[in-house]
Amino acid sequence: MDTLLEVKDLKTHFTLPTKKIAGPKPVLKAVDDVSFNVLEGEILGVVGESGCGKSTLGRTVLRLENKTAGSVLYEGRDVFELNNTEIQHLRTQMQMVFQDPYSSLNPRKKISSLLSQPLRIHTTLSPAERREKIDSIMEEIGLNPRYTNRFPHQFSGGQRQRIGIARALTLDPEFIICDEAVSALDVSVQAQILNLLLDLQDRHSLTYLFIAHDLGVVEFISSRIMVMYLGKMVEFAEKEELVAHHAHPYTKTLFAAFPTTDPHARETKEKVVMGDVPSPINPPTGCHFHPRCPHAMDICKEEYPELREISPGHFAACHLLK
Amino acid sequence: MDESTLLSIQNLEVNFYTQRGVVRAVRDISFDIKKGETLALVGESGCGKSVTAHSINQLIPMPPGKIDNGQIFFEGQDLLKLSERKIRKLRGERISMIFQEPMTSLNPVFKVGEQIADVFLTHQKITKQEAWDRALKLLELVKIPAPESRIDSYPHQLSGGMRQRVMIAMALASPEPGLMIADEPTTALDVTIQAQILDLLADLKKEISMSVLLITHDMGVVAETADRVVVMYAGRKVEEAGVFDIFEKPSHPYTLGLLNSLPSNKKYRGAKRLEAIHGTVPDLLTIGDWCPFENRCPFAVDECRNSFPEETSIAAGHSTWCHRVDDVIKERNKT
Repeated sequence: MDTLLEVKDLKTHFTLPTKKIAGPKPVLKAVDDVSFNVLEGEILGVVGESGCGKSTLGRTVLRLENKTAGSVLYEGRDVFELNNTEIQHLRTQMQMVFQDPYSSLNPRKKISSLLSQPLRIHTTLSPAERREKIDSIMEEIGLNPRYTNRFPHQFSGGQRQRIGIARALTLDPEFIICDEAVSALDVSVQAQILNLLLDLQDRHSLTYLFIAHDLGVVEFISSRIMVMYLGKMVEFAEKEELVAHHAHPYTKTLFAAFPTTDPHARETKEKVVMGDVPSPINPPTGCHFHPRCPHAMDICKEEYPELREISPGHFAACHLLK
Repeated sequence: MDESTLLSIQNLEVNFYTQRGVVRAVRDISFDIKKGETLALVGESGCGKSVTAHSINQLIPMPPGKIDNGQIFFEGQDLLKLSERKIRKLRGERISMIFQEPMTSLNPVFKVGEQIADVFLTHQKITKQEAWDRALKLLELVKIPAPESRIDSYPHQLSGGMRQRVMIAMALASPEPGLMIADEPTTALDVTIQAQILDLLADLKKEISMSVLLITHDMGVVAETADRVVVMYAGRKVEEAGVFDIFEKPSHPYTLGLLNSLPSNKKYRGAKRLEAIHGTVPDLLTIGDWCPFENRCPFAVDECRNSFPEETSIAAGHSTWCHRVDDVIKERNKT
């Protein structure tokens, strides 16, 4: 498979406001030195807890945030070097589906207007053609085209998420970033939306960057998985490899903490989890995970471990894995 | 009533009288909680699980809410017949509650120590110093690191997991905690913190003989903590069973669908699609007297649109409310 997106040494740092007059301002390293590539037609899952930088990563890839360093190459071209017309054209190919189906749709606009806006901006379709296009998309995402006259509040959460997906699809994109796209939904609706995303991928040969905190969802949908912790990528592998041989202690913690659906497992389950996620503003020195890591050594407090390829296609950043 | 029963809800019916009409939130719900048991009330948003739990210590806003029928026996006395003063005494002393969002349920302008000590001072005749000392002991019990300094913290200075620990400490601030109602206690937390809180609740239950009513939508949390499970759908109880039976022998199409909706279900290893439940939850304003799952159920027949099914007992302690239960079990055993 060809590489669609290549992210190299990407850093997104935010300088935070402070009350101090002089001295350095605190910096939040939301994404710190992350490199990976997304292959055409795959679903790359990004998993991590709140504050690990997974959403900022997605937003930076779309140039919704400014990078601090590094590069994002989409089909070989650096997203951050494009001029306004070029980036506008690129936006038709890269779209995003957001977490909250309530706040991501303008409550004052009818569905027809929400869905036709991208077409009005980016295409030269006539009103009749736009309507036709919207009707076909509505059918595709499983909503009756008659509903385009309604307002967002007249839909349930699951239906709104379908509309959010429809909006991302209007311009026939190649690449969609799903930022916690199913997290706010009830399980039965979540399953419907996951199936819909997979159906759409088949039909339109889409590529997804699927960001979520729910390991079960990421494990189901992704072909490869990236694990993030406090702005850093700590492990990256094919799904089967990661599920069977996760090597980084944080990944192990995540897998151990994820509740199984087997009530018998609770007796044998080991308790490996400890401590809180530290603040990303002032992360621990060395390996960010060392205060919570059961295997922490002296070197972990001083030096951030390099990302190493521990088996073909399987990367992890841990001093234990040499 | 059985000696071992702590709480018994019988034929509870709660309606909300709104401008748009009557919302039938809880319909004919009955279940018991035994001493020392964890009962999980499971269902999706709007199924009435929180309303059921809030009926116990009467935290339902009335109006618009109204408990139109039913009894709630706690240690033999009907809570719905008690005066507000007596209910207040029970709240916090024998029945305590922890909520989903620990930030909004703690008071931001008081130190956490004061908030825990307040519970002691409200219900017992002790000095402030004693209450403070006991609050400190509780913070140790819920495994907050450095409790001596944390006791002086304000809620905003604590992380989400810590705040939930403080909430649990408050719920335990009583000489004999009877029932803890935990309303989605880990939903707002990260998965590693959730695991810690669930471990803590399990450890506490071993130390203190306390019953827990766990309200959750997460079948994973159920599998980790519950002894018994009541599955609710659109205000109705549709299945009740021990935790092993719910996962191994689900006998209501909704329970089956709920388990099939989980991407982490073992049967999906290498699968391309999930077996989702189609359609959406019916509107509780216009819901009829028949089976509420009828419009989404793959087993539904005309009978399902005529009446709500009677209880079918499958095994000791395992009941379901479904007209097509025999076919559901046959279908389940096929896979």
